[in-house]
Amino acid sequence: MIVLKNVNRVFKQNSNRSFEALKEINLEIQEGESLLLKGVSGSGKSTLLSIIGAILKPSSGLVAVDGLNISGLSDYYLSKYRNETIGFITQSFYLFEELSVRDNLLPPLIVNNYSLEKIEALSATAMQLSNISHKADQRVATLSGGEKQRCMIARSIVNSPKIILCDEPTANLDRENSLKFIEILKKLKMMGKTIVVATHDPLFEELEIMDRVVNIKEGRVE
Amino acid sequence: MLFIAMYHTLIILLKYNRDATDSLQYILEKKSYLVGVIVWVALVVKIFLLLFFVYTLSELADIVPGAMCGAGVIGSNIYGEPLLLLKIAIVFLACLWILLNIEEQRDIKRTFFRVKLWFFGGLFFLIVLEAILETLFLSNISTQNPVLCCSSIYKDTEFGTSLPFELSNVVLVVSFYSFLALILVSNYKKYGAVNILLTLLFAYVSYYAIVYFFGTYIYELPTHKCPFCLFQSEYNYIGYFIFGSLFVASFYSISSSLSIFTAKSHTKAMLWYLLFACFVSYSFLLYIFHNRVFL
Repeated sequence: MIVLKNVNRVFKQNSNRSFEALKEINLEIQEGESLLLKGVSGSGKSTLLSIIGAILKPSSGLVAVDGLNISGLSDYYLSKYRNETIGFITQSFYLFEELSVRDNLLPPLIVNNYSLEKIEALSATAMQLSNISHKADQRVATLSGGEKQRCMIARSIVNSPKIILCDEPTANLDRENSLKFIEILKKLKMMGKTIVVATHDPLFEELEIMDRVVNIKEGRVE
Repeated sequence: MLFIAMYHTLIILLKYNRDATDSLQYILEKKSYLVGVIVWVALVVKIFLLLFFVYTLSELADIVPGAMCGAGVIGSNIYGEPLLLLKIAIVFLACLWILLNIEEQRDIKRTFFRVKLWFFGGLFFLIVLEAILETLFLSNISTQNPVLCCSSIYKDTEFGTSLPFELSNVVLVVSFYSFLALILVSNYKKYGAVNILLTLLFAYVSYYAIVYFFGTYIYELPTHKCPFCLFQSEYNYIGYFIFGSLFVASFYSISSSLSIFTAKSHTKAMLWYLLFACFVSYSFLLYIFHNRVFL
């Protein structure tokens, strides 16, 4: 379970250009729940996702995942938490264009010193779930936008994280590829993953695939 | 840098509360990271500064009358020897702090958060003391008054010995290799307190074995019993390798025996001890092989 209690995030704190991105956020996300964070650009959705994903630390407040206060962890454990618990899907792909799809899945695995057999098995499962197995040995530079995104999804779930965070995942996709993405999301939901999607794409609401919708406006939960 | 780190350390020690989630705590946590990085960098630099200090002592011998090597410079006033010992102790403690910092980062409960900061506080006090001693030492080196150099180390001997317990060279060498075997076994078996005791004893025996026995083979002169000439270019700076490897081996051996450190380095300690033994024995064995005579 993810618990956020009185979370605030101020950028450029103690300067005259300080900006309060999040204000007194209180939110509980149950294990296996899928949550849609809705709001206009600049409302604080991405900041909130980054705090849950331990990419940013809050300026004050508590962020606990399964009872563990992640905002008090050392860098070593934050890296471990990000590697083992979080899968991050963003609108930009951040892939190694010159490498194959299979090789792009390696970075999260090799840091864990897994055996080659285990790496092979985990990669195969992730690619299968993301419907990209047929392009496993193809260079990322030659893939279409939708395929690149599926490659990124495969990389983000290759370590079997419990929590999947998606930041505007369909912003660069056409409707067809967006629907494919949503199909993958459904599979992940059925596997019991906790999913948080931050988007203003109406498709997610139309299809009613998310358990709960939370509106964020000017850094506050409405 | 260290003054900035100490200033923030005091604030963190006074105000940090691990259970609080207010803005101040997050700021203090960021500051603790900053302090950790500053201290880490400063202490790593100090390790190199110790080597530079030893090199400087050898170089200063040229301007101090009567000094032939660092021994003369270090003995030129009363601050020299305590300063050198303090510098070695600080580098040893600095290495322990670096290990403690890694340990603290890898402990999910961050048990050593305050211990690390207090440890740095103590280390900071020693570093300030070192700076004072260093100023006194350097400002009191006379370039007019002659000093006693290596000669003073063996002045009261006639190729004889001023070894502790009036040991003979044979007993010294046998003790050296016996302790070497013991320390290797002790590290292999991962003994705790016994290992620390043996490490200290071996370091003590090694110092005398280097100066009173192995050194004479490096200098190829039975009367020359000086630890500092080993750092000179005439002897290929072998002193840095000999004393450096002994220091690293002793550090790994002791830190592996301390229960607070989960990362054990007994194997590294054994390898460094073997390397040290090679550096020490090389000249001796070479001399015996070529000349078939003991000095």
